[in-house]
Order: sequence, then C-alpha cells, then structure tokens
Amino acid sequence: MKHISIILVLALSLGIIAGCSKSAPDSTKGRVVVSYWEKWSGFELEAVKNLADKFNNSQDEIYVDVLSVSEIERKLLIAIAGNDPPDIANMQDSGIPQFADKNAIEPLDDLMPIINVKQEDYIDIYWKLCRYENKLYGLPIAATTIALHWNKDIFKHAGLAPNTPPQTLEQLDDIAARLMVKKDNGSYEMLGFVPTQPGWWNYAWVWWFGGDWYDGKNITANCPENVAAFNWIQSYAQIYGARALQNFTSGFGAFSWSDDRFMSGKLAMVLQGIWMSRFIEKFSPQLNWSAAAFPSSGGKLKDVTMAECNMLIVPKGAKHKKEAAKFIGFMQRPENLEYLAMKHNKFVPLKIADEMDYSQHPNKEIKLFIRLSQSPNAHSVPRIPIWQEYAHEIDNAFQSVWLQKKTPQQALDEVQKRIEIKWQEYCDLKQRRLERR
Amino acid sequence: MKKSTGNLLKGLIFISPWIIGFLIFQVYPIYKSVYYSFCEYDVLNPPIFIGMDNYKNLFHDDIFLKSIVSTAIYTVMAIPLSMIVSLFFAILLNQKIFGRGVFRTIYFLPSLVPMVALAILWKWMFNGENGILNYILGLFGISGPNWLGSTMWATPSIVLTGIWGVGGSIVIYLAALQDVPRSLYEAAEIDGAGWFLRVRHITIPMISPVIYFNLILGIIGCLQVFAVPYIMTAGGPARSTYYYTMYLFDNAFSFLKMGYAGAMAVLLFIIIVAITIITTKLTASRIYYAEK
Repeated sequence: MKHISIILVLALSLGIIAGCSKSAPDSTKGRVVVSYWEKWSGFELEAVKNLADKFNNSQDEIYVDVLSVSEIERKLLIAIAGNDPPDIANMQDSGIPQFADKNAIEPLDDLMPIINVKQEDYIDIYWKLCRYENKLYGLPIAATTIALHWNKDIFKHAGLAPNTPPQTLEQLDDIAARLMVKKDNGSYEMLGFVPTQPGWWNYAWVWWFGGDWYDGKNITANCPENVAAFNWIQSYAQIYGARALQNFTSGFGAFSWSDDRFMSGKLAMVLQGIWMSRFIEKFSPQLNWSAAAFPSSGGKLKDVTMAECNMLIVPKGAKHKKEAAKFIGFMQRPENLEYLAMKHNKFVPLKIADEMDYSQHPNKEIKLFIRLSQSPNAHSVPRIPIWQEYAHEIDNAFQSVWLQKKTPQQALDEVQKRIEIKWQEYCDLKQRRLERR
Repeated sequence: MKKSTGNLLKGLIFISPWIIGFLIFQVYPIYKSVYYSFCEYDVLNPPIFIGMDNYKNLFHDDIFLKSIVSTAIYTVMAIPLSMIVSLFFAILLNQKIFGRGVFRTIYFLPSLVPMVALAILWKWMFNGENGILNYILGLFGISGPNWLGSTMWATPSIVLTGIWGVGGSIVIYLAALQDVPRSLYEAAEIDGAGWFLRVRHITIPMISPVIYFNLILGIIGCLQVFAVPYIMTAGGPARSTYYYTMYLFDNAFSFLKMGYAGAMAVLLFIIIVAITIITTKLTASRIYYAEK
C-alpha cells in the first residue's frame, strides 16, 4: 500500500511534466512541421493563415503551423535563449539590428538558393531594412509608409479649399490655427493639428526638418535640425497651452482607435500610416478624407516619410531552416505578397508595386503611399542595436519639451549626452566580443 | 526500513512538487541573477564576467538615481495613506451595525480585481477630458488636471489607485480588532473615555503587531510597484512615474542588459532588507505583544 502511494505521487508529477510536451495534429503525419510565430491578430492574421493553408495544400512534405503570439519580440528572445525557437517569425524591421547584433537570427544569405528572390525586384528601402552589417536577415511581407491625412469636410466648412493640403509645414501651422475651435471653459472642441497624435513617432518629426538621430557613425541627437523640430513641437504646447492640449489628447497613455480624434472629426489633420483607411472604413465610414505627403519645414524636402516593414525571419536555433526557407520563398511570390497587401490595405514591397492594378484596392490613396516609399526622403529608424534605449530617451525628451519643463536644446543635449555614453559602451562591448572570438 | 524513515521519505515525496518547484523557480533564478549581476549578459550570448562594474555604473546612472527618488516619493505618499485608510475602514467595519457582512464584502471586492483591469479602469477615471473624476470636480466648478499627463499629478493618481486595493489589509486589521478584549473597552468606558481615546489607547496598542506587519508588507509592496504605473503611465510623463522596477524591467527585457538589471535587483533586495531592519528597530518599543 505504502509503495502504491509513492508510485502514485511520482506518476502524477511525471504526468504534469509529460503534459507539457508537444503534440502535432493528425493532418501533419509524415510531414515536417514548421512552426511560425505571427505577431498579427484579427483580419491580418486571417490573411496569413489563408496563405499558410495554400502552401500546406500545395505540397505534402512541409506543414506550416501558424501561431499568433503577442509581444512577439520579448517571447522570441526567451525562446531563442532557451534554444527552442519557432522556425519562422514575423518581426518588425526596427528589431533587426538588436537581434542580429546579438546573433539571435539566422542570416538568410546561405538559404537564398531555396528562397529564390532577387534584390533588384525589391523597393530599395525595404531591402535595406532587411539587412544589417552586410547580411540579409529577413524578407519583407508587408510594407508601409506614413502621410498626412486630412478631413475635407472640416476644410470646406472653414472656407479652405478641401482638395488642397498644406504645402509647407508653416502653411500647416496656419491652417491648424484657423481650424481650432475653443470651448467656453478654455478646452478645445476641435483642433487643426497636434504633434502628440497619434503619439507613436515622437522621434519621426526631425525628418521633416532635415534632421536625423544617427549619421551612420555618430549619435546626432542635438543637431540643429533636430532642435528646430523640437522647437516646432514646443510651439504647439506654447500657443495652445500644454494643459488644454493634454486634456484634448488625454495625456501620454496608450492610443485607442475608439478614441481617435481624427476619426471622430475633432482633429482635422494627422500623420498616419497606410493602414488608417482600414480603420476609417471600420469606425467612421462617412469620413470625407484624403492623404498627401506630410509637408516639410519651408517645403524644402519633398515626399518625406517613414518606411517600415514586417518581415519573416528564421530565429537562431530553428530546427527546420531549409523548410522555413521554402515557405519564406513561397510567401515572397508576387501573387502571395499581393494577396496579403490587398487584405491588409498595404502594398507589396516590390518594385512592380508601381505597375499593379489598384482599381480593387481598398485604400484609395494607395499610389501616394507607394510613391512615398520610393522617395529619397523615405526614412527608417536608425539601424543601431541600442535604438530601443535611444527611443526611450527621445520619448522622455519629447515629453519634457511638450510639458515645457525643458527647452528643446536642453532636452536634446541630455539625450545626446546619455546616448553617446551608451553608444560608447556598446562599441566597447562589441570590441570585447570580437576579441573573445 | 524503519517506520520513521519511511514516513519521512513519504512526506518528502509528497511535498517534493513544492520543493522541486521552489528550487527550480526560486532558488536557481535568485542564484543566477546574483551571478549575472557581476556579468555583462544579454541573454543571447554567454555572460562575460566584469566584476563590480554594473554596480559602479548604477551610481553614475542618473535615470537610476531618479527612479530611486520617484519610488521613494511614491512610497512616502502611499504608505501612510493606505495604512490610515485601511485602519479607518477596518474600525468602521468592526462596529455592530446592520448589514455589516455586506459592507465588509463591498470594501473587500476591489482587491479581487486583477491589477491590470484595475489600472485600465482607473486610467479612464483619471482621463483629463472624459474621466469621471474631472466630471465630478466640474460639478463643483473645479477644472481638474489631466491627472496622468501631468508630472505633478501622475504619482498621486497612482497612489490613489493603490488605495483601492486596501481590502486585503482591512481583512487583516479586522481579524486583529476582533481579538481586542471587550473588557478593556468596558473598563475605559466606565472611566469616561470617548471613542477617539479608546481607539488611541486601546485599539492601536492592542493591534500594533498587525500594524507593524502591514507596514512592512506595505513598504515591500511599494518599493516593488510595477503593474499599475506600467499600464497607466508607462513611466511618463517625463519619467515622473518611472519607478525602480520599471527601469529594472526595461533594462532586462527592452535593452537586454540582464546583468545590469540583476545588479538592480540585488540592490533592491539589499534596500528592502535594510529598510525592514530599520523599521523593526524603530518600532520595536511601540509594539505590544500580549504575554503568552
């Protein structure tokens, strides 16, 4: 009796451990199961799943198992460190330098014969975003750019030409001032424009002033163009009153689509991405909007934008690299990229994006976004592994400037000082690692 | 096999899931984080031993120093407020009134709400324009601030949110209050002591061990505050709510500086132990333990 109870306890504890092991669905018998972590959910995930099904039905050697994973980069990190990563993952371009630098993703160069794509076919910036230090780490499946979206009805109502967007940043400021409607209690009923909406790209504004955060060698946080951009940001807080503006934009909390001021007709102009049309369609279909390149300071720079892409990567330690490469190659076929682009309201990262038929495309401004992606003034976040820290620091400077706790020069000098130290630390560490090898 | 050894073995096997779990999920990670705190470690590459460098760097890191100050401010605001509020409600809920059980349940309910849900709920209440808090203030002609968007009000807002979860300590106080002998109150009443004097001279001394217990737990909890500010303000605006554990978390999981984060964790442990010892020493003469 005594022994039975001991055996029972042992069996139970083993059972708990055994319960954690993986089991594959029946349909995969005899096939190599390639696990694919997808960061998207909802309709975006649906489109990816359809393509995976198409791939699975097209042959009987490989089965791609799509799993939607939130906070994917953090989980990937742990999975890679634990040596049990998926075979494929969808990653944002900005994560590539950090992961590539830490040797956490497989370069695809050796797998190129299987993937079978050519650099010439890709829009330059997206190809660049997939590379880090002369190696290719991923291939893009969704391409985006951002542009000025404006509400034509509000323009018309204020006596402005509804089809003419501002051509310079100064014009935009003037229009913004004309469109502003104040309530009796001093808060705002409506605003023309405010640089804290949607609040995702506090670092991006410098590009419209000809500035940047990194020049390929050095940290350039406090360069004069960046200071000019932050002066412009602060001017909104000064003219309109940071407090009233803050109430209008509800502080610095997370963005929510249901509370979006542009879609509810309380904000006339906003810098938003190609995906915006999809949300307008969903939440505010009657909105009479249009999009144009966001104007630069003095109108000197044309077609300034930020280009981003999602790409498929193979994490370090993936068990089925070749099979993963086959699926990546399948996803890169123009017809599959096009299917994804149509479903996501985006465009293909290929140069043929120009010539494709967009009569059925759900975003009426699609051609603008494609044009922007090929502009010499299309930017991406700096391709440095310490960008996460850098962006954190910039957000903090942005908030200090916005709340008028610091002058733009002071705030950016601080960023410069802190990040220069971190950059030096990083370079030293890299040197030390090289010496160890 | 002797019977006692057999029993011991059986007992150990029965508690083995816990012991194994404790060793794997507590002891080993603690050991590792102490070890990594002496290393340059980014999770993905093997750690490089660098001695005390992480600790030295901490004291030159102004964000780290600022996070200590913000955490201290938060703790100094939150501890007295939550202690007074929970004790106050515990005393009220200990009165013999109609529907006491219902009231006790009502005051305890909020502490059952998960932290994340609580933070999101309060975020809406604190909303500068549409929040219920500013709506109510508006009825009295006060134009409320943008609570979470202002460097001045963000920390008080988070303290206020924390107060909502005092249900747990109310229950502990209630249990202690019921142990205070009725005879003491009766004697005091005969001597003409009013409600306040009875609380001051009987209740508080009699439940002082529990107050001390709640104080220590409160300090530990405050120094580790994370979920609520992480969701409500993400450390902003301008790092006014960027507390210790948030910087620790960012270092570990956003910047991949696990060694640096480990050093912060070890330091936080030392700080907590030190504060606990100091608090114990300072309060020792004021705590009354009934004779056994």
